[in-house]
Amino acid sequence: MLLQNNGNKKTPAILVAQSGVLIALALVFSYVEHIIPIPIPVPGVKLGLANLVTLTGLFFLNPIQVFIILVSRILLAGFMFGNLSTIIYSLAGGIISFLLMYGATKLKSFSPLGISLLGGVFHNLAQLAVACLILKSTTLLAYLPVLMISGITAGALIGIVSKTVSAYVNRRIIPD
Amino acid sequence: MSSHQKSASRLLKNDIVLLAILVVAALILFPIVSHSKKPGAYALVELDGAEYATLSLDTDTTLTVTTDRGTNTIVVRNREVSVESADCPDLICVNHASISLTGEVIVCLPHKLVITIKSDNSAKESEGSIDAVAE
Repeated sequence: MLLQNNGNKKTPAILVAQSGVLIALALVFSYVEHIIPIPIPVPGVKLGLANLVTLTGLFFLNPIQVFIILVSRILLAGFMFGNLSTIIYSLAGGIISFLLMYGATKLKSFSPLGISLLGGVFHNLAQLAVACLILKSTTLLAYLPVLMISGITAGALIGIVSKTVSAYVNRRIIPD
Repeated sequence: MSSHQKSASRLLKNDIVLLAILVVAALILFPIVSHSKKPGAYALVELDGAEYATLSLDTDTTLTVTTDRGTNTIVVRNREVSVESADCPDLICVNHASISLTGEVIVCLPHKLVITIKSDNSAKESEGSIDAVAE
């Protein structure tokens, strides 16, 4: 019901409630990731659990709504568990991967797995580019292959989960 | 039904092609990035993109870098460089393994601190390349 898509007849109240629930879900994912650090000493290596909300949202919701959920989650998580610099990195990665994943859903050539791969890899590439700009140094490019592998792994895992979740959302909430 | 299956397998094929391209790109980048790793001569400490200090690997030293963003304590011991302590939120720099080979890097993003291992002739090389560009 919460995710039901009656054409475009969602009232503002439904949109607000739905976005609120999904921002809360994404925040929980961010928090879980924050309290379980990955023991790899390269900045930027992470699973990106919160991307599950963005990715799955792109299959069911209006992209503008998904974008608002994404940016709200990054700002809230940044103020709660991070600082200004983590917000800048998260926004860069989040917005670039959102645009690419949205474009990929429009192309209809990739399954959620492929879309998630694109999102994961370009999230890391965008963060690396911003890090190079902020530090005014290209030495960080040494991390490029590691961050690509990390993006591929995280993207594949999130894609598989999103595929499973999407099938469930379909069956339960939008019956055939 | 069969057309649905067909399109699903086509999507899966595209996914696998994309996966292969990304993995191959990453594997090609690995040797390019990690080229010519040799024992280094000194550690270059950069703050906010500007050179802050150089530490010779020949002598064991400790350098405390304090800015309005925070503090990092850099240690040179047995020709290896590590960050012993810091007050940054993520502590990635402290948890990083010691570095000693040219091109290896320890970064503290929150404090905009970059430590790079350099070889003796890399300073001359970069000077030469700047001159070449200027000409």
